[in-house]
Amino acid sequence: MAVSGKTRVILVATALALFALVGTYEVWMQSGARTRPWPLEAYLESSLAECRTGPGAYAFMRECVLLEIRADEARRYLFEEDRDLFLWRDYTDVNLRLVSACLDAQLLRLKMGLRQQEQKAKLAASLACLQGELGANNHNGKIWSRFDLSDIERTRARSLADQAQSLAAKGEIESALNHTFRAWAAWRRFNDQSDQEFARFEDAAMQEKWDREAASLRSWSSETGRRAILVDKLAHRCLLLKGGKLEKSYTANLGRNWYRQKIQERDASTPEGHYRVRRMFPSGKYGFALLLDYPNSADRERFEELRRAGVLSPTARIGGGVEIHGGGRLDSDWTEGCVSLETSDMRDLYRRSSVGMRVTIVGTSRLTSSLQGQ
Amino acid sequence: MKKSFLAISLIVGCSLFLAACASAPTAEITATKAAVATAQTDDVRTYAPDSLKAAEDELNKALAEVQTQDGKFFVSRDYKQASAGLKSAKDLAEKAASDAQANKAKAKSDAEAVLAALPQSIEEAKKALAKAPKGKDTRADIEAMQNDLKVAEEALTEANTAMSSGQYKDALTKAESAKEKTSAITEQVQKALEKVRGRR
Repeated sequence: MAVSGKTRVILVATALALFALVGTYEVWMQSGARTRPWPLEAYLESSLAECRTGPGAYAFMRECVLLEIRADEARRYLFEEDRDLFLWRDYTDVNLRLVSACLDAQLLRLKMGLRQQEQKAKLAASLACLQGELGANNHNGKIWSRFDLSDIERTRARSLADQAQSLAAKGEIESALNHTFRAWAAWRRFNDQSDQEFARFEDAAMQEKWDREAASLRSWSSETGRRAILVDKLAHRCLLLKGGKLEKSYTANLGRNWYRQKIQERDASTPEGHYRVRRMFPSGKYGFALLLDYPNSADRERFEELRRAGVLSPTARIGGGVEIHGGGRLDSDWTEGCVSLETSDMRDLYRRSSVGMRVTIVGTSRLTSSLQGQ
Repeated sequence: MKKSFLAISLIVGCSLFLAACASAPTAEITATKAAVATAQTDDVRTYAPDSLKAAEDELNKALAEVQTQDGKFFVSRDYKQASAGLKSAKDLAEKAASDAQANKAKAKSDAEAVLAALPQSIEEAKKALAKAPKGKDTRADIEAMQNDLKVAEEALTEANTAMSSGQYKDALTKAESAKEKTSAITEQVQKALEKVRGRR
């Protein structure tokens, strides 16, 4: 097909115009950011949503609000640019704003991530420490830590620690940490109560008094050559002395609240003071038993004084029937105030005991360890 | 003849040229972004975090593709891949929302099931404790069990509070802990009773 000269000129001119158009377009594209920054915008939105709803977001609320303000500003610039005719659009400034906001968001996410890591580390450390403290054989240097004391705060602490462990396994770090702190608080209350209860075992005046009582029993046994029983509550030992020397030593279980001085009936405490064996039973409820003459005059005097002071109710009773008997268990203070030995130990003690025999019960005494050392 | 051939060529050329100038799928972008934004909630992040992450990643990938195409010379732009990515991201966002809903409902029903059985379990433990052989040698154990029961009752109250505030995982943990305690009490008392019966 033959093409006339005029047509050829038109085609060449069109081709040249097209090339010029493409060239201009490329130059225009290169002269600024002409494409809409979709991914940056979406990235910013995702980051913002994560900052709003991510773990521990509540701790960064202020930063999140400031970030939202910056993001709003970037969005406003973006929409203004969108409204322009496409030839005049240049997203350079918008890109800078979006990148800046994205960097801030990324920084905040990093902070949140770091905080989460910190919380995890804090949780792991405090849970491990708590479990150690709650462990039955824990020795934290406190007297009472040697004993498995039954207490609501201790039970509460253990239950909360278990819940914290379970929540941590489910990835609920904040909640697990909260439970750990509550467990610590309960454990602290138990600690404080126990410290108060056991303070008298570290009181110098009390220790001196108990040492005097133990020494007096020993010297009596030494002078008379007769047998006597010394019960050391803190050591949970029942020592049989003869002629002032240790004849036998038995492990003893005490009242559930053994660490207190017995004041009244049903307080589950083991009395302290000088007593005598009033009667002997070969087959009581817990096998062989030595009935002590609790309450003695000192117990009665203290009881009356406390009743007069209003510490005890007027209907309170002083109680009685405190024995040294069998039925003992391993590592458990279970009696209502009696001293309980293992059946075979009790049989042995019973064989060596007599009515009128002296029994001294003390909170703690240095004599116990010195006699046992001998 | 020649003039009409030239006119036809120009019309066909322009049509092809215009057809080649594909524009960014803004409607799809808006819809997908809205779907992902709807899914970006506390609940979805808690109960379907992986699904949400997948949707966010897919959206970012699709939008990067849109920008890549935007940057090309207008005759060679092709948004087919971006459109497919956007559709996939939208589907993933919807899946994340439904996954979260399902997982949350499951967590809720699990917690509700344990919580519903708990008051009865506590009652049973109380009855068992009342029937427990009482004596000097069991008093310490009973006291310990009473402490356990009290703590279990506290856990029930806390579980109900957590339940009403939508913290189902918390509620479930507390309810399970309380259930474990009450079951242990009932079992312990049962054993003690059997021991006493055996002695007789």
